[in-house]
Amino acid sequence: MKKIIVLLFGLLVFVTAGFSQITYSAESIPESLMLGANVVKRSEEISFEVTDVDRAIYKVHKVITVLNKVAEGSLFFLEFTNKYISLEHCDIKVFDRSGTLIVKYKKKDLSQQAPGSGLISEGIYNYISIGAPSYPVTVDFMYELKYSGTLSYPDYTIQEDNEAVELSSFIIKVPKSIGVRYKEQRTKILPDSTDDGKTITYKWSVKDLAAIKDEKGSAGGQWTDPAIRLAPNKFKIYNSNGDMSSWKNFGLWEKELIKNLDVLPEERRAFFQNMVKDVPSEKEKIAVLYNYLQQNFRYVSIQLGIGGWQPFAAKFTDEKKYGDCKALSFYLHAVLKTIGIRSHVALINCHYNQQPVDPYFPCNDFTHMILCVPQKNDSIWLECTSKTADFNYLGSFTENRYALLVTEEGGVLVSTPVSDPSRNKISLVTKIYLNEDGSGKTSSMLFVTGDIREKLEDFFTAKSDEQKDLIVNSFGFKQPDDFKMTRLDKENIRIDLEIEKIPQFSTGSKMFLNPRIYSFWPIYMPLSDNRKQDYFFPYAESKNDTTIYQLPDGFTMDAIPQFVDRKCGYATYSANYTYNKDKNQLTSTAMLEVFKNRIPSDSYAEVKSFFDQVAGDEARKIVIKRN
Amino acid sequence: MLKIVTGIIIVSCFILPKGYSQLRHGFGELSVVETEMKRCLFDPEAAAVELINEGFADYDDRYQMVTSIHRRIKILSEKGIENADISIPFYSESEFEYIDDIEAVTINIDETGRKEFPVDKKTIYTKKVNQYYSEIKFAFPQVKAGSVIEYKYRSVKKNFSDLKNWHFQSRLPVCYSSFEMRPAPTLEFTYLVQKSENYPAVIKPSSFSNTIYFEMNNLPALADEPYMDAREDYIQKVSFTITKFMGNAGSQKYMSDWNEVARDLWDSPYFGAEIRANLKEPQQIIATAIAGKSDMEKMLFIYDFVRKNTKWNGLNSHSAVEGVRTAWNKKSGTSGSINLLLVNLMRSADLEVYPMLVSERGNGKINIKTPFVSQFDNVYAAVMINGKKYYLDATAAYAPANLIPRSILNTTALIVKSRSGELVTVEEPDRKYREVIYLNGYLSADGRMSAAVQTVSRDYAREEKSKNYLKGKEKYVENYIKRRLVNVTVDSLEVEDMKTDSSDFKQKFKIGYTLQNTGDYSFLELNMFSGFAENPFTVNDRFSVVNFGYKSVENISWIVKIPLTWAVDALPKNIRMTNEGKSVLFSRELAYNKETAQISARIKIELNKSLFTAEEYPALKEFFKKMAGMLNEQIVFKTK
Repeated sequence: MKKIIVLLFGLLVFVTAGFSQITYSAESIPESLMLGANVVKRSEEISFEVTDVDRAIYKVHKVITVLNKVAEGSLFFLEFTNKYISLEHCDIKVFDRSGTLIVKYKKKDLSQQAPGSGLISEGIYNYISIGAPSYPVTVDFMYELKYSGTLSYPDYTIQEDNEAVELSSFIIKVPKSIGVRYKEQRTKILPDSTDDGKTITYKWSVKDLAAIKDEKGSAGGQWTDPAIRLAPNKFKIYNSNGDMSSWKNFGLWEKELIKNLDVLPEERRAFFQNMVKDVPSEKEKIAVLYNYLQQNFRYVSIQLGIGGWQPFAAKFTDEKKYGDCKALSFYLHAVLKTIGIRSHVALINCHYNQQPVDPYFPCNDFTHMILCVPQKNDSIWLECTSKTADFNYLGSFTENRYALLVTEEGGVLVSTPVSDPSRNKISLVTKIYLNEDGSGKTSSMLFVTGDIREKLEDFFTAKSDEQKDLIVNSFGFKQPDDFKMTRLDKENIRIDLEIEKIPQFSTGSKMFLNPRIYSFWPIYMPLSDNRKQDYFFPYAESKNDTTIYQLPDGFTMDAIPQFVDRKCGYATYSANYTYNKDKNQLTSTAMLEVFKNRIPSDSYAEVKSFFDQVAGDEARKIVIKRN
Repeated sequence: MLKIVTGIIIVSCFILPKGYSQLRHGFGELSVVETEMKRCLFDPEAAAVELINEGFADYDDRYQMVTSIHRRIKILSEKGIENADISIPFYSESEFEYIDDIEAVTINIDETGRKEFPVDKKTIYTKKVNQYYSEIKFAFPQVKAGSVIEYKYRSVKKNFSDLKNWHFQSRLPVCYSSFEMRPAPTLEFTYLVQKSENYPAVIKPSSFSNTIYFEMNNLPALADEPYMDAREDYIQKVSFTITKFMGNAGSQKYMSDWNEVARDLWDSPYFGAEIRANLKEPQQIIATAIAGKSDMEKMLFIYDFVRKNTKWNGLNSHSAVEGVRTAWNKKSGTSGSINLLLVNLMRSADLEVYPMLVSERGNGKINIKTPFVSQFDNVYAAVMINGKKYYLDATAAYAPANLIPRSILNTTALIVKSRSGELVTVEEPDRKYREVIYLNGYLSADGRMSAAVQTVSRDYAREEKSKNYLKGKEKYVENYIKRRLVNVTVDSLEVEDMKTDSSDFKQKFKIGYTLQNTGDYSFLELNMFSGFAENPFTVNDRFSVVNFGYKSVENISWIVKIPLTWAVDALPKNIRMTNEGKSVLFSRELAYNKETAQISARIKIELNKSLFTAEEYPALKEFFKKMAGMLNEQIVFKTK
């Protein structure tokens, strides 16, 4: 009995240690931590204990004080669970400013909602939105997740934007036979470590961290917060064992998953062989088959069980003519194999604002799959989920980063192409026939390539009323009374408009014309004060505009803006204006090139200043007057 | 032009022969027209078209509702392929509903003949969506432009209580849509068809088969429009309500008039009983806090008390789903639980308060001739003080008590009293979106504008702007102050404390920016901060009412001192513009005082009406177009 009491007492001490000094009253938060903070993490203890290669327990005890309405999102408790992560229990307590308990929640009070994206995916969000009678409000979260698969370890996120930290710690315990690796992200804290021969333990602790400022336009996802990234050496998921201690080994795991799935029936093999038998070069053959894929297959997101990492068998995809990124990339890989062309599916993280994975920290940061076809010089890269993407063009969705090729020898980390603005063009040549009363007809030839064309595909295929609405409200065109759009080919589009009032305004004998009839550079860049994180444009791009005003009889040029030619380290812009007296035509041209979509933080102020000047230049007016 | 017409027929107590046939089109039996269709003649830009959408609702031996559904879609272009991913939601809580007998096939017909690609049963998935709903999901194989995709399934519900509206119209054009029903003999129900006068509907009751059949044909897709009321108000549909249920314990008649509706709700354990529930803790807190206070003070205190102490869980309901006690204990609940808690606590404070069933704007209008509770989607509180009604929604954190919630403006609601129901039209005669902006500026010789700005936002403007300010100052500055001016700096934004819910939201700030110039000309914007700049109405024709929600008035005044060396080259004309009914007004007065080198401007934009019919749309569109053009005019200076 005595033993039991001692044991219980010990347990009590263990549970409350670290939290013993915490008061739930918001009054005790040090003034220094309130500065710039919307939330203060009062105390946090997280432990992640791996007990076997596919077993782990994640325990969180966290107390936060939300200082104001701006941070009400922090009062939203959300945990994702699926077949290999279960929420064991959850206790949430809410306290008012003085630390008086207002309400408690248990796991049974949580709501569930399946993720909205994808046709078929696994798992569910468990959530509750906690109310705040007034601010500040303090919330104590205590919950536990049980892992029966260990492909990804949870990160230790030290602090989020506009969050200060009083006290926080994270412990990870892993059997030595499994192993664990870590990496600091926007932090330099080091762990205390112990090794008892069987288990390795790391513990990170922080205290009294001032809030960090939210910076718009920074990298997305898990890349922005100060954190300790964690990754297993050995893992197991859905009964599939793998090793992540090197990219090579991680690639070997994926290779095992795709093993023997690339077999296509003989008749289909013959079909593809026949399709390219007269095509002269290997590159052209690949292009023909890529085109076949785009014309006949569609993207459908289906992610179930190991299917989150394992593609459909090529035969299945062939029969259904649909699949997710893995299925479609792997299918094209299998098709290329039938004509003797070697290719590799490649794991990658996607979206324009994602950072490259770390070559020295193998970890499961991948969210997408593409296909790489090695060539003597440059590889051919194929985005297989789009029915309209250009051949051998990835776009900012997956450019400028590393992809993990799944080769016969395992994973090989290689660079995807660097964004090239010359492959991502928009050019508009507009002739405007201006009438004396300010009305007129315009005829524009639009040429678009790359990401820009892809982005506009929905616009091109929309109904005409939607197109009309989009050109006015999204592209900033003057509102047309009559509108006609004709797609001449994939990249060339003609737009004809009739507009009642073409000038920005008219006064007396003068008309004040905009350089263009749409917004040439609509991107607003956030303030530049002492930026700490890199800024991401949607893509590198090249824009050209030529606008020709045919002036009405009786009108002539009065004033035109001066020629400008601006440069900064990441972009150039020029705008020129000319008047042809004989033809009574005013021509306005502009050229803008953004070389890279990622702007380093220390160059941001320069780039912001550049684009502020461009916005000013574009707001100038052309003045014409009656003779 | 689209109008809504309705009709009601009561079909009662069918004595039914079993085994009557169900769906009218054979699965996979394509007509020549369907096979050869390349585009939809009555919606020529459509990417896909629903050829058939038919349903038949029947009952089984246990009086469960068994509905067979059959859909056939033709894919007309590449864009239409996105319709080949199918999701069938069903109410799975307590196994109330399940879906079975799913059959689906892609049919491709080309010069080589007809090929069928059935959806493999193994590729049909069931997915839990939340604690109430699940979904059947699958993707059609081998789909391309020209494919016909076709599926059918059976839904089995424990009873007819969840008899859904049948939408003849959808986001795709529909060639044929029908719904046939043979209700369980224990039921009596009414139906209501909402349709355009342009599209005929077939309604065929059959005493032989004890069924009723509805059909509509050749309906174009229903698009969304700016400032549109709910889609439900315009979609071609038939809706049903059970009016009588006969069980072993005798028959139970459902409501046949609004008084009956009210009495029934008052007696309901999820409604009236919740209003009368004894909630010791909050009632005691309130009793102490309101002692000696006026009714108005009581109302404001309790409204604030409930808003602060509960959090809406995001679900609307017109009854207390989880109960007001649970909502209080958990400080969280559905809108029904929170607002009935509000009514409960106000009743305990001896206020004259009633629950009020509402159909929020997104839910669509109610038909006052059909006393169906199911037409409403929420419940608010209606408080009577000194002959004035106050409508309160305690889930709206920023809505002041003196302002009718914008979610129910221009709708009809039902005030539920113990023995009667009172229909009220919710309109706001006085309060508007009101804003006064005053700018006092100075232009330096280098074209730099420095100005102090004061803004007073009242009523709906106050509600909107204070809400957004509290969500973050930086975003507020970007969305409301910087939106028109190029490279503007905004300094020292100060906001006056809003002492009460009805206080004005006053903002003061300073701006600085450089005027754009060309040659000797410099340009000063007139429209720096108004909410109008672009015309939201771009399409030529419209079928829905334009519903701005509230009336509005914006007054913008400014004075700017200009450098003595500058001359005004052009001043936009003074103008006063209004429409035929004087429901929209725009006026602009500008004056230049050469002696003091000052320009003053007064701009007024007024909407005296919040609803505009589709017939009024062309004139409204034209007005907004002209006004946007005038607001974008600028003052021109000669600087040398």
